[in-house]
Amino acid sequence: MFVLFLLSSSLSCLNRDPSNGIHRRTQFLLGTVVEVTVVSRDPLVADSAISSAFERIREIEAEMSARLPGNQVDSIGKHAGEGPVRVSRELLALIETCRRYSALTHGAFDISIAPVTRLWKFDAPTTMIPSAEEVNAALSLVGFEMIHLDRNEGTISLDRPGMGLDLGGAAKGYAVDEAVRRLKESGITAGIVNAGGDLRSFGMKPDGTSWHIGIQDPRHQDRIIGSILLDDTALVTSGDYERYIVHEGVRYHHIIDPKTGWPARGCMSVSVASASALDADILSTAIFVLGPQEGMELLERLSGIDGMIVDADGRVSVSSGWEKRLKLHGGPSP
Amino acid sequence: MSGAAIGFLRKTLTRADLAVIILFSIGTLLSFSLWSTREAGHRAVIVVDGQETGTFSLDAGHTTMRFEGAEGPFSIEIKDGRVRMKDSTCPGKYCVKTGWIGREGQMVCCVPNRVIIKIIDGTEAYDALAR
Repeated sequence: MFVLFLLSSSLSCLNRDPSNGIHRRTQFLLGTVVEVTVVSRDPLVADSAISSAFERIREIEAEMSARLPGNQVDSIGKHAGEGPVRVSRELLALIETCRRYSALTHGAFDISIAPVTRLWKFDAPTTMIPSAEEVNAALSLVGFEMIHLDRNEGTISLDRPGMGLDLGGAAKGYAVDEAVRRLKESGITAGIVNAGGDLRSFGMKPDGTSWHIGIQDPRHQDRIIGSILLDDTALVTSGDYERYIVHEGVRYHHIIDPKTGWPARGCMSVSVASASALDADILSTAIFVLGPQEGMELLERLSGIDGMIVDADGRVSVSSGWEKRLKLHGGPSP
Repeated sequence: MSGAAIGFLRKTLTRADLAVIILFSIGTLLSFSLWSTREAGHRAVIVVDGQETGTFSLDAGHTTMRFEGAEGPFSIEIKDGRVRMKDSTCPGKYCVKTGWIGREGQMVCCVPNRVIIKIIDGTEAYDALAR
């Protein structure tokens, strides 16, 4: 009888849904690992929705990645200085948004940075630091005022040959927003799309609580600097630890100041929360470039935007809207 | 429990009933503990090109293991309840630069070699990490 009861009790435990209605899948996309989490009682609905979200991200990557030759962004660069290039409405709208943020941030965010970013070989096996002459020459081809849009014709043109567009500071956020839209269209009411740390949550967890998000310490991958409860919010962090090379003791990272052509030096990391991942993606880059003081002023000025800045010395500052919501776990260790 | 209630139970329940109740309780507790043990444990899961290659305890002492990624070999090191990508054939070595991880949900990713090392310990401290 004991064995019978043991068996029946064990079975009752094993029958519990181990996922608790939460389904997760990961794929290598957008040059990183994208994790899609959804809440659904039906595994088939969850699987189909996640596949649809991944498919949408794949479409955006194919259209907007600077690494993939032959797409629209590549074509705009190839015809720089020659005249307008017809592009999709989607890309036109995204470039228009980027230009609007360039104006708002006085050029701290600028998608025409491509000639400079091409000089930096962060993925090369050996260290490649461009010379000052190379950087200055490339800088003459950078400036959002030299990007022209024609909404009626659906075209983009760049003023000078050698110019190009780098949507690296926006496309990931845009893809996250679009993936969330796909999930919602598929009937999913709660989940998270996380593209290498650029994430957006929506709805609530199965137990009715908000999503608990940890923010990484910029100097130690295994530590959390802060955490926050989020629902229907995007959170994007830009840090000097994502892609970098160390040359003669100096860290050269991938967030380039469009004014100087060199890595921005004021911050270690900037986390921005917003309703849209696109806005959070662009602003985290822009605020990183602006530096802690000007960056915090911008954070406070924009409505619906909050965040945290870790400056180059490890000092943490938090926007007023986050003071009561963000739980800090101590500053970054040296 | 009041004396009247105990008296009522003594009159109502036979010894066999009590034995069944006690056995049922022990069975439930035991099976719950077995189930909990299976779910717990501080582990690293290695995924290569979408396929789970192995799951390793992070509490089993110092060890180094070598695997084959999509583009070439890589090795991981486990020590003091943490894991890191010790070496990889990828060009940028961002996976190696990531360093040690040991918290639930943390990942080391090698995009060129299509490798993910993920920590699972059943605590679910965070639903996602912004990094």
